[in-house]
Amino acid sequence: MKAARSGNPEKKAPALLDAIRAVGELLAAEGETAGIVVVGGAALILGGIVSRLTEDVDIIATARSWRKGVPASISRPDPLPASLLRAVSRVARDFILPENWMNAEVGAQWDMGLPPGFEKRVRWQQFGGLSLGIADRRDLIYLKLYAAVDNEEPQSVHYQDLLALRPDKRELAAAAT
Amino acid sequence: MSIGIKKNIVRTITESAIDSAWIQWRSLGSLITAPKSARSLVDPEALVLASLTLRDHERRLWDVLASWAVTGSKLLSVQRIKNLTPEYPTRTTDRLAEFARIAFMEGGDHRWRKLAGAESGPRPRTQELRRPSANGWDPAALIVRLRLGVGVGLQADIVAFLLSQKGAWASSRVIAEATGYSVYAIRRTADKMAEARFVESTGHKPLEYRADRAAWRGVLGLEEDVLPWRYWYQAFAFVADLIALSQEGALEAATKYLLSSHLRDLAEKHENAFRLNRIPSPDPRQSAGEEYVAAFEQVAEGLANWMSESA
Repeated sequence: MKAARSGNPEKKAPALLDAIRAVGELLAAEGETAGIVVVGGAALILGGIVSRLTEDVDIIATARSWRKGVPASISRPDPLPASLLRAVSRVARDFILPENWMNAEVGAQWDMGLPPGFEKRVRWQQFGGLSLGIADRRDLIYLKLYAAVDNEEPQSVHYQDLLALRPDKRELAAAAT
Repeated sequence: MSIGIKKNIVRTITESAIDSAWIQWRSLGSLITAPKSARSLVDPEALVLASLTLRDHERRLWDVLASWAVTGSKLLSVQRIKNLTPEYPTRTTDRLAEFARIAFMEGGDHRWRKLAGAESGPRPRTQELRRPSANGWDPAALIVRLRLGVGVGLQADIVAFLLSQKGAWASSRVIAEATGYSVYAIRRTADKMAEARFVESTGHKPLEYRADRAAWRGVLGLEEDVLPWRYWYQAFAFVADLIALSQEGALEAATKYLLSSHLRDLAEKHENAFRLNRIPSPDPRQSAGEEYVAAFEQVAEGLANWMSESA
């Protein structure tokens, strides 16, 4: 969602929350459910840590099992459920967003391993048929540090997001190990 | 609680479509009253499909249709109506089977046999609303008139479309878009017509065709320019879908966003109706999410106004 397709640059970009809510409404209307865990800028926005309006939604995991309507365990987001992909594509059209505004590229992080206890710290929110899990602050620090070291520029979004998370030395040291 | 578009939108469009149909049937020589003559060429198959759609709202349209099915079906193209029906909702095409049955059983027109259903639809109050031979032709009835003269088929429709272009060249694709025939069929027929000197062809790429206005005016005894072509089958298809969706309750949704998304589907499906007829409509890319509901209402109002002005 970093770059809107709209030809009018002055037009206010749609809020991330509107687009996510729309995905949930579409799933519910189809009688479908999906569970995703998001990290990155979208997680920071949804967690109230940064105030950007738009951001790609990086899915790091999908719900693997459910208990009483709530995701009970997660797995690598590969592939994303077909019903979710249909909803994401429709929302891209309806909100004039790039096709891949919600994607699972960050799922490659599973190759390096997720922070220990990541799954237990996920906080779940419900948007219609969409259960959306937000990674915990300490996990976001871990992942942002990992992303920021690849960007030498202090002005980079990852670096700035890491600053916004206000990690202390102990948290940075833990993330670095 | 469900959310819908403004209640008067569907009603306004329906009324505008009924008025248009009424004017067009009158211009084809039907024995009915209408406030004016049509301002654009009447597309006979589009008019049949529109009238079948509007039958519930204006029962007299069924009387006109039943009259035409008995004495005028031979002036309609079965092939063309088959080409156009995929653009229309099932409700309309189901009723076409009733029209076809009357044309086949009572009109003796065997071309309609394959389209005929088991029922003939509601009993019409009269089947004498078509004048078998017109006393003078309304300029809007050019397509029907040409079909009567040269036969029902692509030739008459190609000539009518080219004459409406006032001497401008038109490609096979443009003619196909207007008439609903395939590009291949148009090119094959138009090439033969050019060889017979019925129309002119550029003879080279881009391959385009035009009709000699002066010559055809002489043949047809026209005193004024041919009326403009309007893309009625595309416009009526939008109306038919809108009415069908309204009757099915599909113009309501649980949330405003869901409604906006359904409306976007509808507008996307029928974008040709707006593009070809140059009906002003807001760019959907400027109305994100639920903002499109208001934009769609403008689109629908634009179509209603266009029908009032163009019929």
